[in-house]
Amino acid sequence: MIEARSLTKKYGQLTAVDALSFSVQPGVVTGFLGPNGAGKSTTMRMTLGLDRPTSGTVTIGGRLYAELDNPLRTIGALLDARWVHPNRSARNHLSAMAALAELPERRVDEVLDMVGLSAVANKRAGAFSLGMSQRLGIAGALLGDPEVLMFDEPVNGLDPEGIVWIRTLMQGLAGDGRSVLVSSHLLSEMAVTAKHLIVIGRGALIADCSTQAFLDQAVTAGVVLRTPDSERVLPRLLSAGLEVHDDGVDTYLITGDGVSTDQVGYLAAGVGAVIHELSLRRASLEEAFMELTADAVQYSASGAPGATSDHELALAAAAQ
Amino acid sequence: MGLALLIPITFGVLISSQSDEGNTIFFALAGMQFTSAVILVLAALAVTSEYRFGTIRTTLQAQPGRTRVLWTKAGVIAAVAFLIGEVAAWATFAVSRSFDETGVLVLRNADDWRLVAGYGLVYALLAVIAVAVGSLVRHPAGAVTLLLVWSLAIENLVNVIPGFGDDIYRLLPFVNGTLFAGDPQITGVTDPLSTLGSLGILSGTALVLLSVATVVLKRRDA
Ligand SMILES: Nc1ncnc2c1ncn2[C@@H]1O[C@H](COP(=O)(O)OP(=O)(O)OP(=O)(O)O)[C@@H](O)[C@H]1O
Ligand SMILES: [Mg+2]
Repeated sequence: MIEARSLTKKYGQLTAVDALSFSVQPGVVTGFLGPNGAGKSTTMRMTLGLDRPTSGTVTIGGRLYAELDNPLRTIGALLDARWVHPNRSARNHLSAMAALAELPERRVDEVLDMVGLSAVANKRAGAFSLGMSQRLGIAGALLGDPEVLMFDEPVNGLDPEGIVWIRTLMQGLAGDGRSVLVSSHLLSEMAVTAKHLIVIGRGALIADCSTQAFLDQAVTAGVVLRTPDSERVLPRLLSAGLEVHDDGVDTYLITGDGVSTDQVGYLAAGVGAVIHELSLRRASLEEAFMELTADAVQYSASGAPGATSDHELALAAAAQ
Repeated sequence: MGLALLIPITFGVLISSQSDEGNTIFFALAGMQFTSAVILVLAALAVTSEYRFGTIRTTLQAQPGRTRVLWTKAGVIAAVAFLIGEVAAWATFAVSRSFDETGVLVLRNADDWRLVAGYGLVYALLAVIAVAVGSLVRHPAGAVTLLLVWSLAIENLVNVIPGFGDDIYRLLPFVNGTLFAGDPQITGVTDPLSTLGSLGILSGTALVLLSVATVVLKRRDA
């Protein structure tokens, strides 16, 4: 079990992790979700005692990483698949780790077999493809047969087959009763992998709930409206407390609490507007996620549609 | 590593086969001074390559005790450097002797022994200094440049400073490495105490730097 309490990390002015508290329970895959730069990797590095928290603590089974008797037996992690000496073979890399952690050498062959690298065990790691490097990193995480596992964006750059393999592996590990924390910036990936989600943005906690609850809350429906009479209908919609987003030529996406095609249809009829299209749209997972973390996104391209057009449109509509 | 043997032996052969007079054990082993640069580079790279490839994180994951990691590394690298020093010095001595016709290359007393056997210790301590600097600087090129400029350029230039330059010179670590494995007749360090003093300065520098590197390693993010 991993437990973070008011975990904070500052790099100079920048607060990369901001008073983060969460716990990762055994038996399920917990997704660690957040946009780029949210602080996922930083949190994981602090968990492994590589980075020093500015304040707060993160413990594994109640102990700091540095206090663990045999860390690799307690928690295995893949943070960066490139942390391997390129001239070492896969086997030598794992053997060196095993020697440092005083693990039996036979574990090396066992984990190589588990990740399917036995055939290339003696090839130099520098020549490995991304997928093979990722497998080697996972082999390293599994080396000590630990109760807690942590993977940082393990599916990045993998082909579909590799993604399915990692997903199945993680679920199997959780099925054994282990705690599994896996980070990603893709909600769609986490939706099929993780039972529980910890969502962060700008280092702070946004949600800590079951994946199902998060999806129910996040996947809001919107109504697509295509009309030539926007100058009449849009102010009406806005005054009814709905939000209007530009969605193409004469096309608008209407969102708001409990918005329905019925409601938009009545409002449009009330101002005598012609409607060419009126339909329900379910937000995609990614859109839903972006919606929730929008305030928390650090690196958004300025002027991206959706980021600014809402306000501009509202102002323009109100002026008409 | 081959260089560490090749350089001093070549020097030894050249010096011993050329000079008919005035050859000494110290001169025959002159190449060992150059090889110390090789030791510094190898030891520094052994540490900095861990940072270059990020494997330091893998290492610290398996062994979070940072003091232990650094001191073990320093110990192993120093032991290798010691062996290189002894092997290179004795091989150079033996080969030089077979080329020497003046018959001066004979070990007569403890001082003569120190001139040859001392290099193991000097190399080991140089290796510790290089490990500490490597761990502090972390970048391979930066660490190597710093060590080479310090040992080859700065320490030799201090000597040129008029007045107190000479006094400081005698206190510099790399200079004292040379003095410890040096011939009193030539270096001017005649009493045994200052020979030991040289060893003291070199090992003191190594210890201080390694301690600083330990504190810094424990404090900062890996
Ligand atoms: N060593 C460092 N020095 C300074 N800033 C850092 C350092 N490491 C991370 N940061 C900053 O901290 C923030 C969080 O970074 P982090 O890598 O933890 O994010 P992340 O959630 O893993 O993002 P990604 O999805 O891109 O991997 C970023 O703004 C990053 O630039
Ligand atoms: Mg990251």
